[in-house]
Amino acid sequence: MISSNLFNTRKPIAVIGSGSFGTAIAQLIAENYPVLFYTRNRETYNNMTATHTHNEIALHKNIIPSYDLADTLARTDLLYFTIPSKSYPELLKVASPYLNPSQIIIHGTKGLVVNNELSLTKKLDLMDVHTISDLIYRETPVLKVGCISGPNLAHELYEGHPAATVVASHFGQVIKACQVAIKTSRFQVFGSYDIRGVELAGVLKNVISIASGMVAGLGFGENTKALLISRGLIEMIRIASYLGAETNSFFGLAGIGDLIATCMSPYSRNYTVGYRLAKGESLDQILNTMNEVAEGVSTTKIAHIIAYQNKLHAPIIAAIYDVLYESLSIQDAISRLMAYPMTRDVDIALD
Amino acid sequence: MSSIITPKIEKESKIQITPSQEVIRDAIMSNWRDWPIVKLSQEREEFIQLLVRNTFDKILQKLGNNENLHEELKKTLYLEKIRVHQKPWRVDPKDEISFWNEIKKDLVTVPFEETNTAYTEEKLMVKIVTRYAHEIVGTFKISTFQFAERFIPFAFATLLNAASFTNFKAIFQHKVHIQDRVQLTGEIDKIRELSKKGTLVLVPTHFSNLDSIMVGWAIDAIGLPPFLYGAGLNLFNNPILGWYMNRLGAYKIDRRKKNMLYLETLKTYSTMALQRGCHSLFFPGGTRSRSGRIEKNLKMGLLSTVFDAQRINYEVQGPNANKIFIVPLTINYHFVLEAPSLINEYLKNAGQEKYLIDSNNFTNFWSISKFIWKFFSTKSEVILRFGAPMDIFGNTVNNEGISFSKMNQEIDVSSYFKLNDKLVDDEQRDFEYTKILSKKIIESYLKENVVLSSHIIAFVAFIMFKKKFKKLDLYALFRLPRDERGIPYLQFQEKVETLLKHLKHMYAEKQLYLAPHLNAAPYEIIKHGLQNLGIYHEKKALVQDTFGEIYCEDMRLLYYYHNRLEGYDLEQFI
Repeated sequence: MISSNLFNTRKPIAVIGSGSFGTAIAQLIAENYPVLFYTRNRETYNNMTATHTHNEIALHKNIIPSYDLADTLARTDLLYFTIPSKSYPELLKVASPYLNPSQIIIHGTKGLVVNNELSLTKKLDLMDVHTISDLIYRETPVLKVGCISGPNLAHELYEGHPAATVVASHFGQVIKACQVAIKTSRFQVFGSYDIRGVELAGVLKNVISIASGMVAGLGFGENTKALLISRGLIEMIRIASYLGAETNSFFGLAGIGDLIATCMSPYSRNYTVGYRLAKGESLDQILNTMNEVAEGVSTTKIAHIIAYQNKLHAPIIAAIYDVLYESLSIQDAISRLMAYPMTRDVDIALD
Repeated sequence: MSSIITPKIEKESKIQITPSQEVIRDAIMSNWRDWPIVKLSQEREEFIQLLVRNTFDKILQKLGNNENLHEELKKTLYLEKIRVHQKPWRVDPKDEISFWNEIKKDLVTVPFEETNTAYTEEKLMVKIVTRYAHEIVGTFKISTFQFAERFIPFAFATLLNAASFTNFKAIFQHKVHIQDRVQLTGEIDKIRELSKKGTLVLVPTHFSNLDSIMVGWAIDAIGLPPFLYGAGLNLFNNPILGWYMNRLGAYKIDRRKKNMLYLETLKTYSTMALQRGCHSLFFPGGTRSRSGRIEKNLKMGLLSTVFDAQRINYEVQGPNANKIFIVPLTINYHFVLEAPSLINEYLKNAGQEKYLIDSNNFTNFWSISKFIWKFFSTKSEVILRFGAPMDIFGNTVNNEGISFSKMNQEIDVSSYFKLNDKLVDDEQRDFEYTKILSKKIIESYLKENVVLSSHIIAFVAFIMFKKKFKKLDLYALFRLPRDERGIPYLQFQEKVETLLKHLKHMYAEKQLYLAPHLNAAPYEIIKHGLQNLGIYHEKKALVQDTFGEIYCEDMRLLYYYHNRLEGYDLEQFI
């Protein structure tokens, strides 16, 4: 009578969102299962069906391009969402009627959604700040939600470099399902029950990544970067634990692991934003010419408002905010940080 | 933004026993032969055998191998020997000591090298589980139930009239109606409908020893068949009370026994009873609220059995299986008789997580009678509100028992249990589901809570003290000198008005309920509140002194009663 609770589907697995990360995930899963690869862009779809390539990458033979959301959702037990955070409210509204509680959704989006206007002076209700898993849980009938996060730069995944990720969910079933679907000989999958911690680590590291790009753009070296990474991590933890996350995840692959990768790689989008800012371009200019969303730009605003309004000590994030939104020069921001009165090195527990 | 017009609080329809309702009730009651609770008792022996077998399977599945079972048996034996020697109760069977001695003897003589060791250990497990099963399962007797059903309302009414004594004849004329004192409101028609379509699990808030009696009466008054309920084994120390409870659908829960074998037997019992369609009553807080706060943490053990039962129903009966519905119930008192001792226990234990065992003082007939008498002799009302029923995932259900999601989509509950299109048993998943359900029940408590005048004045007064003495911590506040414990009346009324305005706004937004008496003018509400707030206590939480000042006689009690409005973020309005 008792069926195994190991995920073992005969249906294809759906990947919703055809950005670079979505493509990398689809390629990985395709090694194990047929993939329904959904894009909302008609042209992209036509192009994929015609050439079986996407952005000059040859798609795995197991990938089936799709343009019909309802059909895609109905045909699968396991879905990966890899779309920008700002697209979620609309997508979930459309998708919800086709979803049911037997399905599993795993997302790979490192952003937050705020259901209210953002302002420094008007107190932000933390109930209005949603992680993506919160949002899926609220807006769909699906309870079995998970997220993947880790140092997973898309171009390295395409090339098959050895790498790993963390899948986090409250449900062991979800963790197992994700592992079954995505683990390959070159891609390892770790599990965690701390979904909030893993999500917030991935979200907040984008802010530090922007700063890392700035530092590189100014031509500073590894001392500066290491300073930024280690002090930045502490600010991330401070904000995340205020938002109810456990801190352990920050010392793992999804925390420090992802932070290092994204702060070192010129391929990281958020890093690129910072780098180009340092080279003198304006934020608008940069955002208008980027193909894909750099989540860190809006996350900086949210993170700073939360820290500022709740008196959480986060000087680096405040400085990045001022550079992005208050036209502070990067040089001045650095001078301000260096002039800061000396405090304890690691003082997470002390405030 | 907020509407200028304050919403009128609707007079909730009280349950009047009208002729048509009498018919509905009679129809339900005359079908007693079909009640699952009756069938369960008729088949008690077979049921126990099956219970033992299912528990056996479950434990083996959990422990995996024989070595673990051996260890678990040793642990059980150890814990039970301590219990038998240190906390013996009158209700315990006479052969406790010899029984466990025998187990000990068998356990040490289990031959290690023999191939049949498993057999012996399993046999020992069966022996222990069988003993537990016999203890847990009660014997519902329809005759006792029918007697109680007639007698208790009569006794209630007589007590009530005697307690609100005007003249001797009035005692038996029953001029004061129980319905005037104990108001039943909420989604009663829907609940009655659902009771025919599925299995109800009633989950009340728990503040007082009176709760069980209130709920028992209420279930009967709204025309529902009897519910199974877990009663502390300590209550059975009193043979008369025990005899009645046993026959009125109680099963026994012994909170001294914390070993895995016992807990699994208890959970399996609950699962099986639910599967058979027995409506059940859980106090999910596990024990009375010590702080006076509405429950914030629920006990997972029994609550988790609804998931097992529902899944098995789908496995056995298919897609149209019997559904389980959760019915939250808030019991709203102006005062809780045992508040002083509860709050003292709370303050003693605050900061240290400790499992509280209900004190034993509620077991003799005299103390119960005194308790009930005290309750009825004060003229304050109690409101029991039956909340919106939901499925075990917190989805709303319609009168047909069909579930709807937050987005108002129809939901097939069986799909929650499915993986790869198959129903799957997954304990870890169900544990998470239990957490979700418990969150939904807590949300529902806040929404279905009925605010009374006494809650408001206690909340306002305590917060005013707290804000006036910002620097003091809770314990210092409790020791506030007498001459600091007064609040000028006008200041007080002003704050009450502000809070009321906000509460009415929340009521319009369906965030909570307000008692009909809150329609009155603020000064009348304050008067009403003062007349009712903890009226029986020797030292009052609040009184109005001769100069009209609001004065607190007992800060701890005031804190206790103020806690009832905790969790709504109301402090900012005072």
